[in-house]
Amino acid sequence: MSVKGNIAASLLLFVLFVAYGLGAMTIPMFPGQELEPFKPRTMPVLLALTGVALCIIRIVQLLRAPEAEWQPGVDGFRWKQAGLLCVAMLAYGFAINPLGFVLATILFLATGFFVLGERRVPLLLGLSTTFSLIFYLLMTRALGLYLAPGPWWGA
Amino acid sequence: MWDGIATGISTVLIPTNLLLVACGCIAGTFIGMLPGLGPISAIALMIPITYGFDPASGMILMAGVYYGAIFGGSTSSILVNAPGVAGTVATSFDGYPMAQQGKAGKALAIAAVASFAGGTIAAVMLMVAAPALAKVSLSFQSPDYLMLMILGLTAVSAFASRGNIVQALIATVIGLMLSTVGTDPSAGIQRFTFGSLDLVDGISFLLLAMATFALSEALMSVLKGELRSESKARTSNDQIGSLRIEKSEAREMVPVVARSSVLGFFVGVLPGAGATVASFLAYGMERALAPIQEQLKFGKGSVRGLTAPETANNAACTGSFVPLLTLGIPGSGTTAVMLGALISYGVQPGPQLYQNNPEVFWSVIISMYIGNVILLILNLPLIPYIARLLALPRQLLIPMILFFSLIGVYLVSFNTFDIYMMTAFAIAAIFLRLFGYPMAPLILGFILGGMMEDNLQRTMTLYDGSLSFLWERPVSLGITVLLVLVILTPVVRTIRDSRRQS
Repeated sequence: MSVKGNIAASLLLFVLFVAYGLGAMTIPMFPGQELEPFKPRTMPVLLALTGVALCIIRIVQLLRAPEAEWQPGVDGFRWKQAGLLCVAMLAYGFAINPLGFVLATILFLATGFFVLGERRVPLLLGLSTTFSLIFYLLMTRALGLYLAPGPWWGA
Repeated sequence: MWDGIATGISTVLIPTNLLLVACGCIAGTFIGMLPGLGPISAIALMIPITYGFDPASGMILMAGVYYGAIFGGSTSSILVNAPGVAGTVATSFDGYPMAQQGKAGKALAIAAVASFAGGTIAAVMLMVAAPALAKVSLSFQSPDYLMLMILGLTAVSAFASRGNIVQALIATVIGLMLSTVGTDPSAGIQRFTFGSLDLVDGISFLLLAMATFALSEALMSVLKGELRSESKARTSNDQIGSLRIEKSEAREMVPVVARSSVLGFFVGVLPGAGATVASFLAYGMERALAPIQEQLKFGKGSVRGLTAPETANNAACTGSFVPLLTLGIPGSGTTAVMLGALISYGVQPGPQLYQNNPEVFWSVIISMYIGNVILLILNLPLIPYIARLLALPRQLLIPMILFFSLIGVYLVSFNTFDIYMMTAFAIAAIFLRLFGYPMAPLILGFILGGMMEDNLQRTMTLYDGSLSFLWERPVSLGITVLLVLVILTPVVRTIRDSRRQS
């Protein structure tokens, strides 16, 4: 990341700490608690102040010595693949209850394999199905845990 | 004491109990290896299984699982840089670079030997000094704990920062901030829950650890396009390399093992500190003690850097049993689960345990030693096979890591909100990693946040909001001096380097 990018990230964290500090100031207190040496908002306020101070130091560091900063390249990063995997994880969360563990896991794993470049359909489907079924049986039969079976396996 | 040891040996050497230790070690190793399932989950899963056992057998099984999971965590830390256990995060600092250099076998062998040595030395120390050590932790008060935790966090930031302590401290503060989400333990007031019931109990450690390590690491490797080359490198078993530890390396390990065992054991004895702090402190200590040329190797595959946390985390695991068994205070999250298990067996841990149930007390201690022997016998020859399990092509391994991370957390809460939260934290962790913010201080800040707040509250109440404990309590004063040294060392070094350059 460029120095500008690093400063932007530090500013974003600065805003986060300020927002956290403002949130800490709104933590409710019981009557009379404001006189006590320690309140539910004491630690959050201390953390927010520390965070803000550190961000300022960081920004000053970046402004003073930009050439010495670490600058990893972002060219060639596979944003699309990583983004699709994040979407697949969210979709897995949505699907696990309505579709059931087995089907949701088969779909998640198969999607993951496909996104990462696996194009051999028998391997893609066979591995995800076998793995999901074995894991489901292990959890439900061997360990006695409940996993939503879904409408197809529920009966 | 000797009668107790004899009772412990006779209890552990019953074939059923020996089998339980072995099964516990194997199960623990496999579970610990899988990112998403750490020792807490492994032990929690064992509680229903051990209901039918007598308390000694149940605790023996769980001690085996604990050790196995810690070692399994080291294995995944070294091979895929995905520590399933907070105590093995420091292992990945040098273990993973070593594996990347084609010395994965050597790294695993060093980890196994260091774990065995650390566990063995600590078990002997535990047998000899358990009652006396309980008194040490009794003498610590809230201000001392508070300062110890601040020291631990600062030490982690000082060495995990790879040159920028400010960024590491920012990550620590973010971790501490996340620990304040949920219900305030003292007043019962909700903080930063945004009215969501899912956040009332706070964010789970497992969730955050999996999101910031396993998930973000897996996604980072996708982002960087490390799929093809890594899969090629891992499909060949030859890449694991020799398991042989050279004589020079063994000589290098001996003093590190001795120092880290003692440090790990004592840190483990202190309630709340545990394997994570021990491993980070040992790593920091060895880095500080190493000559300048050796220091440069830290984070790039140093033998000392790998030996120190591995020895210390196993020694701390043993040490954490001291407050659990003698005081009834858990020294770590894992021993807290064990405390719950003991109570469910009808055994009340504390000073009375030593008197009323000596077979439980001593059999756990002896089983730790037996567990260490089994881990060494079992893990060293099995290392190539264990490594082969993780040698799947990356395009198949990464979705599996994502699955185990998600399901490991989901199986604890059965709440899909956790899956969404993990995804969000993983994306945030990638953002922070890209800008050079280390994750280890963040996770340690999160783990210690709740305990730090408890101790801050007690200290502020005891001293009426004054900071006089810093000079009134000798232990706090000593720790504060160490803290100042930890902060000043990198500053002085930076000034010295810049003067040399100019």
